[in-house]
This record gives sequence, structure tokens and C-alpha cells, in this order.
Amino acid sequence: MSGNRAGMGRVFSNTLVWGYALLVLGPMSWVLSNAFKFQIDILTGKLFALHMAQL
Amino acid sequence: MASAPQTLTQRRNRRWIAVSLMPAITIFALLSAFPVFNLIGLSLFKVSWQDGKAVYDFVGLSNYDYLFTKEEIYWAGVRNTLIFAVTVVTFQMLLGFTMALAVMRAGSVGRSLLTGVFLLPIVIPPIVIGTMWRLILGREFGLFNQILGLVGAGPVDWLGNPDIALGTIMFVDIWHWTPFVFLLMLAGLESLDQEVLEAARIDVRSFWQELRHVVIPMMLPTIVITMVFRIILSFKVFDEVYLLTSGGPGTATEVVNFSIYRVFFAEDRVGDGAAMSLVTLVAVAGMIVLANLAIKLARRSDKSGDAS
Repeated sequence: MSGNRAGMGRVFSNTLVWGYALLVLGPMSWVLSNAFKFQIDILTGKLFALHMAQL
Repeated sequence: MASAPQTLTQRRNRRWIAVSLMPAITIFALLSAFPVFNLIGLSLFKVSWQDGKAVYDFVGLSNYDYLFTKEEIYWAGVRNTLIFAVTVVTFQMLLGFTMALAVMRAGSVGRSLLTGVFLLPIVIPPIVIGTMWRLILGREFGLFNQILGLVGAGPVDWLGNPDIALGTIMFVDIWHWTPFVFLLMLAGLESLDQEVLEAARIDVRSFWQELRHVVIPMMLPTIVITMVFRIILSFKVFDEVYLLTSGGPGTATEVVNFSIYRVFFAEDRVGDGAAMSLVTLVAVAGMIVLANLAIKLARRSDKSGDAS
């Protein structure tokens, strides 16, 4: 019974710490991946300008 | 117990220590005291600029009168700073302590890996943190709004909506500074007497009892000191506000430091800015005195716990 409780506690604490690690690493990875650049290029017309230049 | 009479060598040593420390103490006192006296002087003048020179008009206490009766933005900043400090310190303490407890349960490899990951936010310069979160919280391209878009929810103006802007800044500060609390708590937990903890695990029925009756009382001095650190640092918040919202929209995210910065550097009201700085200085000094009292009380309770 107590072993089961200890096991559940370990699972809970593991979920908690790895979830928090994701919260720390997630935003940094998103910024480093430059994922926002593509949409900014669409809004500023940069992609459109490139497309027109290729034509 | 009466102290033993001092020998001649001991007296000479004490005198030598006092004399050798004197230059450092004098320089330190001058460097600390001079800006404060300068600030007191400036707060009694109205400073204007003519032909590239500062013109000082003595106005007595009217800068303070203006601050306490007419200045509204500063008091909005005080209110926001208090809300900010109480909220972020509460969340950071709870999260930091919980994470430290959870990491203590992880294996040695997991512990060193997690500690490394958790420390990343405090080693990144604040300017990078501000820029990063500005991109993430952006209304048009931000990560948060992209995730909300995936579930069909509309975009949220995280930094432009006055109802949620302060909450957003608090979230960023919690993200930024929880690792600091985590680090101190982890150091505190690792320094606890492991034999006492092992004995407690045998005696108590649940993890909560162990936490409440053994771990928290033993950790109390660390908890108090960390909390005091965080309270003082949270009253000094500036970079996140400056980079994310510049105090706006309206006065929704105005904080004391930002008000002082704006009055001094943007509005050129040097006398008013000095009065604001002094009032803030006195308030923070009062808090430090209270914090010292809290630390002394925590240490006393720790010592009495050891003795009993």
C-alpha cells in the first residue's frame, strides 16, 4: 500500500518536474526556431515581393 | 557568563582591525550617503534647463506636497507594485519549493539535468527575456495566440488589454525568477540532516506530515531569507515592464520604478523624481528593517528548535 503510494508520488513529481522543464524550454525553443519569422514575412509582404521578383 | 579580560595583544589586534577597516568603511559610507544627500537636496528644488545649464529654484516641500496630493501615476504604480510583489512572490515560493522537493526525489542524473534546465531563465540577460516574451505574447504572430488558434479560440491581446496586461507581466516574472527560488530551496533541502529525514520517514504516516512537521520547520530560515530576497527584488521590477508594456495600456502595468524613470528621464521633472525616489527609498528601507527582524526571529526559532 505504502509502496504504491510512494510510486504514485514519484510519478506525480516526475510529471511535475518534466512539465516545468517543458515550460522553461518550450518558449526558448520556439523563439530559437525562428517560427514567427515566416508569418512576419507574410504580413510585411516580403514573401510576396520575392514571389513577384521571381516572376 | 562574564567575558574574560582582554589581553594587550587582543586589544592591539582589535584596534588594528578597526584602523585597517576605516578607509573601506569611509569610502563605502561616502558612496552610499552622497547619492542620498544629493537626492534629498534635489527633492527641495524645481530644476529647469536654460541655455544648456540647470537652474535650481528652491521650492521647499512642494514637490512632496504635489506627490502626496496630485501625482496619480506614482500611486497607481505603488498599487500595482504591491499587487505584483505579493502575487509573484507567493507563486515563486510555492513553485520553487515544490520543484525543489520534486527534484530531490529524482535520480542523480535527472537531478543534475533538471537543475541545469531550471537555471536557464536566470542566466539569460533580462533584455533577451523581454524580447523573447514579446514575440511569444504578440497578438499577431505570438506562440500563445497560435496555440489558442489551434483550438479555435480568438487572439488575445496579452499585453494590450488593461485587464490582463499586469497578469501577463506577473507570469513572465514568475517564469523568470522561480528558478532563483528553486536553487536556494534545493540548496537548503540538500543541506538538511538526511538522518533526521530518514527517521521522520519511519515515524510519520504520510508525505504531507513529513513536510509539515519536519521539512518545513527545518527549512524555515531558508524560506524566510529567500522570501525576503524575492520581495525586495520584486519591488525593483523594471526591465520586464519597460520591455513588454512600458507601463501601459494607461497605467495598467505602471510600477514604482517605471514611474520614477519616466518622471526623471522622459518628463525632466528632476525635483519630483527625487521626491518619488526618496519616498520609495524610505518605504523599501522600512521593509528591509522588517525583513531583518523576520530573519532574526526565524533564526531564533531555529536555535530554540535545535535546543529542545
